[in-house]
Amino acid sequence: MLANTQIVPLGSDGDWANLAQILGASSQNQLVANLLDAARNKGCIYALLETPYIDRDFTASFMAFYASLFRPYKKLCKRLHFFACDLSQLFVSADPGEIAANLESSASDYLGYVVFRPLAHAPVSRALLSYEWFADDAAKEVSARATEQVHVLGASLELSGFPLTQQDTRVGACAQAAIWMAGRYFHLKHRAPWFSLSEITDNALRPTDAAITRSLPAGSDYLTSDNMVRALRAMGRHPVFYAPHETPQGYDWGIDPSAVIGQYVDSGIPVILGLNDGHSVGHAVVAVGSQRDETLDVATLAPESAQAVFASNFLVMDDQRGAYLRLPVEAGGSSDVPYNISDHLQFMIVPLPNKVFLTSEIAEAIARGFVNDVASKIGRFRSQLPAQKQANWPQEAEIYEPAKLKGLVARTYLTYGWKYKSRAIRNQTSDILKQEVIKRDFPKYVWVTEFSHPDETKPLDPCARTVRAHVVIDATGSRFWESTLLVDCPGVMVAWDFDPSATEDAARQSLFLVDHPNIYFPKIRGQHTFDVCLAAHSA
Amino acid sequence: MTEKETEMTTDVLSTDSIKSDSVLVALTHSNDVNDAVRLTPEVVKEIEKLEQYAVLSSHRMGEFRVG
Repeated sequence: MLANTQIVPLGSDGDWANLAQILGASSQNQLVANLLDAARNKGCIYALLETPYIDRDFTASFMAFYASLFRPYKKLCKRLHFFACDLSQLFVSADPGEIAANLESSASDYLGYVVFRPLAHAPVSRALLSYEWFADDAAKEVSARATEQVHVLGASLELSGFPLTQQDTRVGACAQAAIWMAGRYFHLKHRAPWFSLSEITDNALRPTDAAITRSLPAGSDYLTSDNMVRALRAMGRHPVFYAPHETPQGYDWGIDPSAVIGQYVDSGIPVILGLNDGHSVGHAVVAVGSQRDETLDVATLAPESAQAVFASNFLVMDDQRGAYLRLPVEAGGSSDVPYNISDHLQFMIVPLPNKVFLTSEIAEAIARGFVNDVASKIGRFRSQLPAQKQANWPQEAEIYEPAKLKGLVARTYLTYGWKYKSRAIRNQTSDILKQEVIKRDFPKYVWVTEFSHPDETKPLDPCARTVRAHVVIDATGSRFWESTLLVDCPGVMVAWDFDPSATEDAARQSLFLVDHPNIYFPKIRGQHTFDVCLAAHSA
Repeated sequence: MTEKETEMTTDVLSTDSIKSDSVLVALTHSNDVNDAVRLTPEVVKEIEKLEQYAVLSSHRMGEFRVG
């Protein structure tokens, strides 16, 4: 098939008007307008337009629905790539190899792409926009992000971000779009199976509830949260559902929803948020990151705060509005969407992987419980030391003072056991911790809770933050048996081990009293070592 | 290779050989001795409360519609 790739200059108002003309009725769509505005604001001055473009997602919708209609529909799409560099000379060379090489040399100026369906009512089939360009504020962190190799003109361009789609209102709703975005992320990031929107709807409606058949085709107006959970289960996820308890006084979450969203998002797990603005049908978006509040006064923090206390906004993918948009925690802050967590959150679905049987808030409660127990026993531990060592032990003993202990900010995240090990032995942790960690096997997933003094975890630069203690918990664990693997506090390290040859299943704990400074780096996203931080500190 | 060198080579063939000389006190015991670090009954109760919320909250909320 002959496919044309066209250079579209976008340096002036007239150029952008010309692009709108090329896109036709699609350009009138609110999401398209928002995406084009965002690209322009981020410095896009040239685009490449592929016409026609065969899109696997729209082909699936076409097969499932549009091909069966009396009215003829086309299945061919367009794909538009945004660049922040001059592409005017791209086709000057007649050598195709040189064209591809020149395009690849523009990789650092590649902002992302949008695939357009031939449907004016729902033009965005999918988009992937670079988080580095579209969430470039130092206070913003897109924690759930995946990398895709994009192929155009024989060139291969690497693009990292979170996938976006738009509900096709004829056959689906924002619920399917939110599930698609989470599912496509897991496909790109963790090689999970590929699912189209029509497959998601099929899975959501199995079994079909009576009420949902009032919209035809079924599921085209809305999904219930039960339907969404069914779809996610069929996609191989093991979702955990959070919603408030209805009481005569109103909704009672029993947890801090923002803290929980922050814990999962910080784990690289997108969270589907169900938002209720008072209408009979709410809206679903996907939380993929957060924006930190640099101005927060740490003196005002509540005791036993979670890291999310520093988040003023969550960054969400909204199929009707755009990518990496700010959803405020409380009303009144700067916002890109007409919702906030405090007033509008109705439920959240966390599409966990299998083998995670502890939720984040329980993991954090366990972790804090162990650190508090170490603090309560620190005097007894001190008495076991040689007399000459007791006076100034442990270093950083102030952490065990009740006020300091209550003030510790907890950062809880899920990670692979091997990643925890890899990071721990490369961190500035004590030698004894590294030596004990390297000897041990960890489960596939662990919950890690890092504890920091508030002022030491406030900086935007993660390398400028420090951790004073941490706890590692087996994610397949339970409060009914010993699930904690390791506790590391100033002066005290505890490790739990099962003896496979023992007749009883109880773990034995190894307690180490040490005399090391306990100040180390937090987990740095995207880094397996701390070389970046060490280089920054030595500079 | 002398006998001593052979012994040393054998000693460093597994992670068991990794030992720290900076540990002040090392104890291994079961979880029920006094010095064992453990969750207090208050923390267990707090966890039970979180679990109770999880059960209560799912009541009817599964029917909430988004679209």
